[in-house]
Amino acid sequence: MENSGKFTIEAMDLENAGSVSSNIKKTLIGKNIPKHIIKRVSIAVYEAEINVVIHSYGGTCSYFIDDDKIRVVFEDTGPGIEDIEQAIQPGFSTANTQAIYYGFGAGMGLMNIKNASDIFNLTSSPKGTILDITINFN
Amino acid sequence: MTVQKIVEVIRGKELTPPIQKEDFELKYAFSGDLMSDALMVLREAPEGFCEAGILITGNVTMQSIRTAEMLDFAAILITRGKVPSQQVLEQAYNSNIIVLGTNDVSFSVCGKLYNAGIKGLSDL
Repeated sequence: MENSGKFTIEAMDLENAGSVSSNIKKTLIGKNIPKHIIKRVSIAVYEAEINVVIHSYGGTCSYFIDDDKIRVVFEDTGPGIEDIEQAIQPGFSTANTQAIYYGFGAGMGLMNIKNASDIFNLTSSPKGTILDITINFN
Repeated sequence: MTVQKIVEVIRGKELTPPIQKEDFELKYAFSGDLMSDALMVLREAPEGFCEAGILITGNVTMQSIRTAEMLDFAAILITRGKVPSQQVLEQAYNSNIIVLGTNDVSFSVCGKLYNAGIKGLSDL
């Protein structure tokens, strides 16, 4: 199994959204990592993937697996998050109706990612957003 | 409770081809149409909850299957007579997720399953 990889994420492709998370989850299952940790990684990565799909112009997801942790980096090409503090607040959402149709836009995503991660770094400008998370395996 | 018994209780049907899971019983359920809520609430659910659980939802999109996959749900129960697309059903089957369907609304089906012994997160 690969210890690193990079995927492209298309904007507003809600039919295929989740395929990156599914891929990373399958990779972790092959590595004998505790199930509850795999679930935490899957949830964080899936929420982040959905965010790139519904809020950005598109981007990438890169992952790096070590013996004791996984680091996942999402980078998109804009339009950026105006106020990160506000975006993290539970219930705050700017999701459009299509995202809501697919079951997203409750305004819980970033908080969920933050709570699921051991390290959470989010930076944003109009040129793009970078979400860099790490989850320890023990 | 076996899948067959659940189907009987909800007066519904199995929408995916039977998935062989030895001695498999469904014990728990979570209901909601917002996948974000399910992902938030069930992140720290006790081990085994989703693995023996049913996601009850009126959301028939691909993302209900993806959500179930990330959370390790054993089954999805689609309410209000909605019919998922073939693509959605294939994705579920390939992810080893049983899809059930009923004409009941979510509230009624939750009541029937609770009465039959299926437990929710608050009961644990």
